[in-house]
Amino acid sequence: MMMRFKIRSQSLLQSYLPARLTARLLLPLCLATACTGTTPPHNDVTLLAPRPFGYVIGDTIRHRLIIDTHNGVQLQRNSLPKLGPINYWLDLTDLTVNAQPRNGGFHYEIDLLYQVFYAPLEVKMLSIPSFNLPLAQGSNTATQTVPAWHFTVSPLRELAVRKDNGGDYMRPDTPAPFLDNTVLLQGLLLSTLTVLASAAYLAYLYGYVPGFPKRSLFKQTGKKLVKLTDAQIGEALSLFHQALNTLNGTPVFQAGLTEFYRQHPPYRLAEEPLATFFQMSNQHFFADGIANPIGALHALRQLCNLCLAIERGQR
Amino acid sequence: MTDHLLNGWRDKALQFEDQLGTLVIGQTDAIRHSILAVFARGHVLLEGNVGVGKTTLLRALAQGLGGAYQRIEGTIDLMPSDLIYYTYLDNNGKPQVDAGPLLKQGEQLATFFFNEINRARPQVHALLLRTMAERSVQAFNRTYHLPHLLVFADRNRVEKDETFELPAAAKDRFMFEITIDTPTDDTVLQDLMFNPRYHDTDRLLATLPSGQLQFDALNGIAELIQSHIQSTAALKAYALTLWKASHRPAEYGIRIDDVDMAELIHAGASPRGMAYFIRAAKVRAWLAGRDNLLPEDLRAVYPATMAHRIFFNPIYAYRNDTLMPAFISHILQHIAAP
Repeated sequence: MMMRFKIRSQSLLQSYLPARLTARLLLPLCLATACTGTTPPHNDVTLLAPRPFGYVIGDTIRHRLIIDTHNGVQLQRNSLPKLGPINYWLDLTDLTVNAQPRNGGFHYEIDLLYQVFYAPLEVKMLSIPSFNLPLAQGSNTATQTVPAWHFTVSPLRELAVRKDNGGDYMRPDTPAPFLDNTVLLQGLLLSTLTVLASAAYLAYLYGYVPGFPKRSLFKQTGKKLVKLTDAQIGEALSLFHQALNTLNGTPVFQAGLTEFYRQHPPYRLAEEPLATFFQMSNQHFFADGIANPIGALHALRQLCNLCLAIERGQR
Repeated sequence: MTDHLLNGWRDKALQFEDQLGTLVIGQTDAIRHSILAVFARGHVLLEGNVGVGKTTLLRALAQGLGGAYQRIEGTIDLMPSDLIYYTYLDNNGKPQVDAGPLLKQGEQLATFFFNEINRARPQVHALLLRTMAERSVQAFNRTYHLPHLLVFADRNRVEKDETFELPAAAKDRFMFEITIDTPTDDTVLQDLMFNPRYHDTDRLLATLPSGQLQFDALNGIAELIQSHIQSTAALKAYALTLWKASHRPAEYGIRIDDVDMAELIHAGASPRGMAYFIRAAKVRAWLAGRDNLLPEDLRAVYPATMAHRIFFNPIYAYRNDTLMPAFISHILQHIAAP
């Protein structure tokens, strides 16, 4: 099994438009020759690496190894580097392997993500250590060494600390400015108000607000009616008219009772006494008066009690 | 005696209304208002699209009233004299002057139908003003009285070119402005399309008995109705509020979206208009078999009596078609009685 090794440097890690910067290595292996006794196949190993300079503590470096094997040569995945510290200043934080069969062999893409924790006092040359790629063909195994990758790491400090200017060696960054959340706050406020208003309206519709005037329309009217005498039948009728008008939002007329019942279906229960009430009202206000005001007032109180029961949801 | 007389006339009126309803279908409101106008002795302005039955209704009405019926078409070259007389050469070649449509039947003239009134010039409108208000015409150095005259004028709302808008004074002399729309009920529309009964107006009207209402007795019965129907203080207060609200809507809580209510009204209803309003309401009460006015009576005739008497400021006048019904509706919805 023959293996060619080449290293590419990338300006962008995800891009595959690298400039070929380093040497291309062609490393023969004798494994395949020993096995088959024929012309050994070549395995291509390409290392795609970013720029080798300009790193500071905490930076990550992504390497990609592309391996094309032939004649069924496979990568031994369980022997790949393990995630975690490689040495005291370098961690391997991520490793992914993609494999696809190609031309009787395999096309491997191995992504390695290193993170540098070296804090140099001046620009320093470091290297990611080399490691072996274990390969196997049947019971035969071989390794291919991925060479060390050299790069420079820079210090993250001032050239000279101006202590006379109040400077300390260790100084925090300027606090990051907050994102502008005015619109979000306004939206939240508006939503909250809408929810509260909807809840209040719903409570009003369901009659959960006991002190609300509309809720106790007929209660208040009933209280006033009790105090009135037969001679005040006109006032009593007016009071009940006002209660109906308030309930409806607009004046209720005899001819508009159908629409009133459509708007307030529970009051259909009072259809007959309400019709009588309007007849009494017409008789009192627009004709020659009610013949029996005692009976009229009594009927009006009963109607008011019925409406009160409807108002409270008891009927 | 009075009750008996009024009851008899009411039966006749309701029967006549039913008959009109079978001739002009789908126009219940227009027919009811026409009957109200006949018994309130008020002139009527009809507005509607073409071919909706305005003329049929008027011919049927004239036939039911009996008396003479005259009709004239409003044109831009129509002059007042054309209503009063016309001249021609007789068989001997001598010039002759004969009475025009207004004078031809003298006091027998019961119904005068002015078709397309807004096509006639203002001079013609002016003549009509006096005729309607005083029921008399000055011509040939004497006064012709037309005591039983009812004027029905119509204008179609489709064409506005070469027309003269009726002045406020002329409009005010009409008791009602009745809008006649195309019926919306599918059954009625199918009947109008497929029932040959409605295709020939002459044959249709031939089924209506003539002179059922005795036109020369209507003035008397109308006065009887007006004196018979009573109104209480509460009713008068309600009517007065309705009137005032047409002048100063903002003071009565009338609000319409996008309208400055303080700037809306240019002129509200006139006293004459309000008198017509009450007359019509009383006739409605009489037809309902009552001898007292109810708020329902006022509310029923308010739109037809008020809409052509209220004038909006120019800034809102162009929205009259939509704003006026809304305004009338808001008044009726917001003014309570009692």
